[in-house]
Amino acid sequence: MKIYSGWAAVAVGLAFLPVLLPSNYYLGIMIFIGLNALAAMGLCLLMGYAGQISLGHAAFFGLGAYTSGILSASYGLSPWLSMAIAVPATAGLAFALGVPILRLQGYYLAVATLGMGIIVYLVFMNWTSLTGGPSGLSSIPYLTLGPFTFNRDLKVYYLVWAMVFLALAGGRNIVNSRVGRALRSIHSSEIAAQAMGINTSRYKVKVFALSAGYAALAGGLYAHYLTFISPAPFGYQFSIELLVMVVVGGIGNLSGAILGAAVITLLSEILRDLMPRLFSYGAGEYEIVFFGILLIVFMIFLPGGLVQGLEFMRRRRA
Amino acid sequence: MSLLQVEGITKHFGGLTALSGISFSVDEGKVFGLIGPNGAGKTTLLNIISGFIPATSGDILLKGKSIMGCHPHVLASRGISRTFQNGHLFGNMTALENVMVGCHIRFRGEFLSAALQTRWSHRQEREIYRQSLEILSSMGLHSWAQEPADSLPFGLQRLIEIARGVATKPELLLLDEPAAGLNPGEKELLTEEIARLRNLGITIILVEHDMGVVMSVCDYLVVLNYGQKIAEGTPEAVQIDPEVVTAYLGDENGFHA
Amino acid sequence: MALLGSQILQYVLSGIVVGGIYALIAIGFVVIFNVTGIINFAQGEFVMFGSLLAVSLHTATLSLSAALLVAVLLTALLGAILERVAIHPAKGASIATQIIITIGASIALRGIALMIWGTTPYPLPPFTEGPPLILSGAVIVQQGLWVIGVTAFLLVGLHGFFHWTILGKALRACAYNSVGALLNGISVNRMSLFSFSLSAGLSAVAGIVISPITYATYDMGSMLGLKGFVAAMVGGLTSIRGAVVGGLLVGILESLGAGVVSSGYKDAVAFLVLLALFFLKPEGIFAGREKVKV
Repeated sequence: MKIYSGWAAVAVGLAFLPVLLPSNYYLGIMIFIGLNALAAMGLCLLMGYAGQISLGHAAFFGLGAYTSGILSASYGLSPWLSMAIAVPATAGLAFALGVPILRLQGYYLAVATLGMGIIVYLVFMNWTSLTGGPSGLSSIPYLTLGPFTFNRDLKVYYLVWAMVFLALAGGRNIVNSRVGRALRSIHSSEIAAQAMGINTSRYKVKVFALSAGYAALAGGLYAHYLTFISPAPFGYQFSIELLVMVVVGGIGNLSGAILGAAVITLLSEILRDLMPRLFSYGAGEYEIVFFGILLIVFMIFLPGGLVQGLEFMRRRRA
Repeated sequence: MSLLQVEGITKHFGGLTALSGISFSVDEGKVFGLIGPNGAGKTTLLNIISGFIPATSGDILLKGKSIMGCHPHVLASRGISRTFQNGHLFGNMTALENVMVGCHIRFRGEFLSAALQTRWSHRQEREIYRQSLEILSSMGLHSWAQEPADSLPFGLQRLIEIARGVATKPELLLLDEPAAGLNPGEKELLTEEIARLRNLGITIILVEHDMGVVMSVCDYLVVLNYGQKIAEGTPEAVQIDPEVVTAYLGDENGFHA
Repeated sequence: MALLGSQILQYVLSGIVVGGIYALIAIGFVVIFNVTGIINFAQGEFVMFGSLLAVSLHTATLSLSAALLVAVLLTALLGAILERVAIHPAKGASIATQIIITIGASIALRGIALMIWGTTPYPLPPFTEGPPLILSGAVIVQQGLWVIGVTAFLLVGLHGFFHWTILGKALRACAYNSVGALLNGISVNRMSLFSFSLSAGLSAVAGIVISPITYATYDMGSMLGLKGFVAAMVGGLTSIRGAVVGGLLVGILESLGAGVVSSGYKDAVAFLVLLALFFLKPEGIFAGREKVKV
């Protein structure tokens, strides 16, 4: 119950935040934090509960974006319907990929997702007739709800964060249920879980599919927000950023994923602003050095992420 | 009357023969002891029966139906449960939650109902909670229900692992050296518990080194040595079997209660 | 018909050249995995650092051969530093943790290279100047012969090292049975350090020998590393012979794919091989003993 009141406070705070923000630019950042949080929560479920690493989650994000984008822009389906198709379709793809791979021991999934991520990215780039190739896909329609069209940052902000909280609630419910217990048992001792009748491979595949669904949802929202998508943001770099968000927030803690998303997205923005001033090259990929170091430092010194750090500080004060 | 029938089980690990032509039958409602010196193949046999390792040849019948090649989780739903020699408790959960995982296969409700928190899934969860607490209480463990499993003393951890196995409501419970590392008081508790479970109708296969426990609770014994069955019978008969005595003479534990 | 034949031969030859590189990188993966059980996602960055260091050293007036040698040694040192700084402190953590750490290291190294060298592609002069070789209509530049030659030489050397030197045998002992190795006085700690150094050095050689053809850039490591990894997977991550076969396989298939089918999807070939492996024979075509820590 303590947790719920904490989140209720956050929700109220977020509801009033737009009043405080000086410009739309900041609202845009908050939207991106929300989208990243959605994708990161999915990855967090996978890493914290199935104990697997995915290095290709950007691909699921991109698949959600492109599927929904193509269905609505090129085939005229309503945006909600497009998303309602895109999310399960992406999850289904993840399921199909996961079944053979998650039967294997070890970290084969990490590698397979890496390869899959690259292949999907290449498809986005090369299948020009469907995706528009490097020049991207435009004229993606906005989401609508009755008379409401989500065409202003403010409206999208509320929509995205409502989704984030729904996803958080759903994720929490899963974690605290019979299924969540089964997942935690798999993470603790796969052998004992099997002995207790849990089909561990099947569960791992399902979590993988669920995590892909989260990412696809974020991708769909992204597409209908920007109304234009191109392959560039859906590559390896974004997959790593998602990984960093989960690690920094705390693997296995859903709220940590939101925290991690906020930290990393903000850090990205600041660094993107700062680095070109410090170094004369303008490639804008420098923040990646920090993320690399962050990964190492967190995994060695603070494997529970910021959530663990905050817990620690709270206990010390008590 | 025969719950489990083991027929000619042989297991090769590369060039090493761990088990050779093991056959015996386990009667319903009895505590069946599987004993033998170190390295005799007892845990290997247990791993085969519970589906974790495939046998090289032979067959095992549960209530007349073959269970060869079944995955461990399938066997759990067919009524076989087990504990592990190295104690595989779920350290990231409380004692009660461990037992609740044991209840998993007897209930339903997957991701969707969990995410939506339907009234039905709430009811299931309450029932799982109640049953798990009951099992812990029946074993005298309810005061530790909310403790993290890995913070408890070893002897209690063993009992909780058994409670977890019992939660699957098995017909056959495999216990892999549950007495290892326990002090005499804990061993007595363990023995009582095994006898109580037997009286509830659960068939038990006990792999154990501690002869005191074996002698006081087993109804029937099979003795393995170097992967072969060298004797079987009641504890009293096996105890004086010359081959068994010889086999154990090399073992530092000896064959003494 | 003859034209098609020489076309195919051309693709195969280029495939063998690049396959040799993949093989060298793959061996780096295998050595580290065998000794430590870790998949080193930073392997490609060793390739990159070797190349860029060689370029800088050579530009800074070192003779070519001296620059190459020093670059390899410096990269080997980098491997050792990485092991001590990032891998060793996390010993005993789960393999997942260690893998994430190598991922972190790889992107940090890439960023550092970006800061030092920027995005420009740097050329390294070929080891020998001269006209390319023509083999029944197919062209192979002299540097390509160097690639094949160096790879073959290193393979022979590695074989000798692993089978006839004490250090090499100690490395293999760690791979087979780390407890047994420990009991025999072999320091697994030191072997872990050495495996990273050796792998880094091998990858540096791979980068150096291909740079005259493909130029050295700060991000050359990612794709090369990944493809080297796929090659290593063909050998089940445990077999050097398998890694070599894997490297050649990926190189040739990629070259044929790019030439015959489409060049846009060229990079996808290696990963399609990977996925095919997963679906058909995940332990690798050269199924070695399992290195699964129970």
